[in-house]
Amino acid sequence: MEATPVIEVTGLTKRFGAGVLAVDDLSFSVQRGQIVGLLGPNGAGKTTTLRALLGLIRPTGGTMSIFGETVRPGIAVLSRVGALVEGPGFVPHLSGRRNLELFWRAGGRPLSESHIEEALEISGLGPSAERKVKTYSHGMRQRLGFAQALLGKPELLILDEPVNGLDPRQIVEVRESLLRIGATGTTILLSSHLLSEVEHTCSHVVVLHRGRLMQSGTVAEVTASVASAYLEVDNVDAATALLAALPGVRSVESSPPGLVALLDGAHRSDLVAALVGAGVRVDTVTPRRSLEDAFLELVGEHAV
Amino acid sequence: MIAVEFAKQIRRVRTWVVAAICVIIPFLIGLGFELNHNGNGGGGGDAGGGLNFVTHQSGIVVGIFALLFSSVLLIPIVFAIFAGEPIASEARWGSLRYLLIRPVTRPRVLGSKLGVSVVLAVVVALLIPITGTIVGIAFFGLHPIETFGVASSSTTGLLPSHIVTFSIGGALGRLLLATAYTLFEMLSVVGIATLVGVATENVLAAMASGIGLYIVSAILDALSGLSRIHPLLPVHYLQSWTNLFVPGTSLEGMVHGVISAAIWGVVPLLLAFRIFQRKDILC
Repeated sequence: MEATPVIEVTGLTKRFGAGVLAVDDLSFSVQRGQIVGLLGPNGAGKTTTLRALLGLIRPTGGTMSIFGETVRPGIAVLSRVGALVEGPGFVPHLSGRRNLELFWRAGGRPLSESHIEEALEISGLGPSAERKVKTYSHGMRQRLGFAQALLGKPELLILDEPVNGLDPRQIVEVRESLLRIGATGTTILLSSHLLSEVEHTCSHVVVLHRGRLMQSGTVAEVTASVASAYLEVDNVDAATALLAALPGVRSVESSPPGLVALLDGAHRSDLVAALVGAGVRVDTVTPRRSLEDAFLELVGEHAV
Repeated sequence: MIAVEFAKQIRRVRTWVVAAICVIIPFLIGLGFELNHNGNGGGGGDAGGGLNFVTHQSGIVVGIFALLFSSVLLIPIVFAIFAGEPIASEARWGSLRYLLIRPVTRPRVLGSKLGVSVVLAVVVALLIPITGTIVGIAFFGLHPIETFGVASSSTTGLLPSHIVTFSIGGALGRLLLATAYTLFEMLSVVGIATLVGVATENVLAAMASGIGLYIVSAILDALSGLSRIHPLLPVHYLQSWTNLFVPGTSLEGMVHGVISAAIWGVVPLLLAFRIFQRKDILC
């Protein structure tokens, strides 16, 4: 018998007012220990989905459960969840440390269970943790928000764009923290519009576009579902025009020093044959199965 | 939850600024009476609200007037600030969503915030009659107070007649009752400010609506053409407590005032809790 999923979302639908469907019949599940990336461009419904999971917004339709408990505002099981939702938010006239203390105590558990020192350690704020939050930079707030999500060593972390606003070095640090935390068995659901982020950090991916599920599975599965070819040729312009006109090729994009063709039926050998036949010299042909291609293909179909 | 909320609010600059104002104003009132005393020897008379003391140069009377003058605007402002702000401020800071992803029900979150706000507003507002009385005692000493009682007559209405003296204890007791009554009347401000604060998540809108309610209804209350709706207005019975110091008058107004404030308070508060419970938190 399979264990209860940590997160189970079935047919989640959210319509704001009479207007747009922010999330449209979305279903996915997250198993214990997985690091799942909710991937999609801005406006895909990622934040709405995370907010609904945390009980912040009422779904128009569908059901959600966390640790087997149906999600409602303020349910007890939220004590096992740490979250960062659409940027950090703190009381500006109190210190970073005081903010974390009050956040923790609002949940009704003693401060001794919060592991606040470890969380502050991970945040890397150092002595700044004693300063008022209104003096913090955007990056410092983001790191304090990350530390807040880690309070009490939650079994499930829900992180909305966790590396937003961080510099490259801090991004690497957060990524390493996430992998370390994930390695201890913590389940993580994070959203990102950055493919590289999900590719580097996640074991599984749920691709969202315009509120709809495009695809889900392991990063390898989603990547493999899309065929593409990377080519280096002596005449990129001629090759681009030639390939774009070829049946079975979805699109051709420049990817210096070569180009990338997303395939829809054509085989790589067809490309080579066409190019050679037209007098273009081909130096390199390799399959390129990055998540980025998969993402572009999945989302591109529906792009306006 | 209550301790957490208290910790947040007590450290706010606005809490202390409002408290300072509530100490300064009664001090100025006491000073005004003192200067008047030095200028023309002082005198009683009707300074407002139907109060008719023999002399204003008396300790407890300063406390009574501090309450009277403040009840029209200052005390409603205090309550509008404290009641309208908590949810709206958290929304503006972006911390509301983090408060609501804790394993705490929304009514408890709102209840704790409201409770702490009201307690702080009451404490701050209490500074007004307390400071007034202390300043009054410092200037004029602690004496029994003398006021003109009225005799009712079916033809001419209420007329000042005889002088009545309240003992120190009696006067302080009446001032305490008057203060409690005034603070209870603020339920209407608390209700509206909370409702607007929860519904709009806008600090200014919340405060302005609480104060605006008072200003608008004070204007309507002054228009004699609208006398039929006057009993429905939240300010109509605001100063009915002055009859406590005018022997011979009826305290019926205070009973009406309590009922009116309860309705003006409870209805918007219930609505605020309902809205908050069902609200999508998007901030």
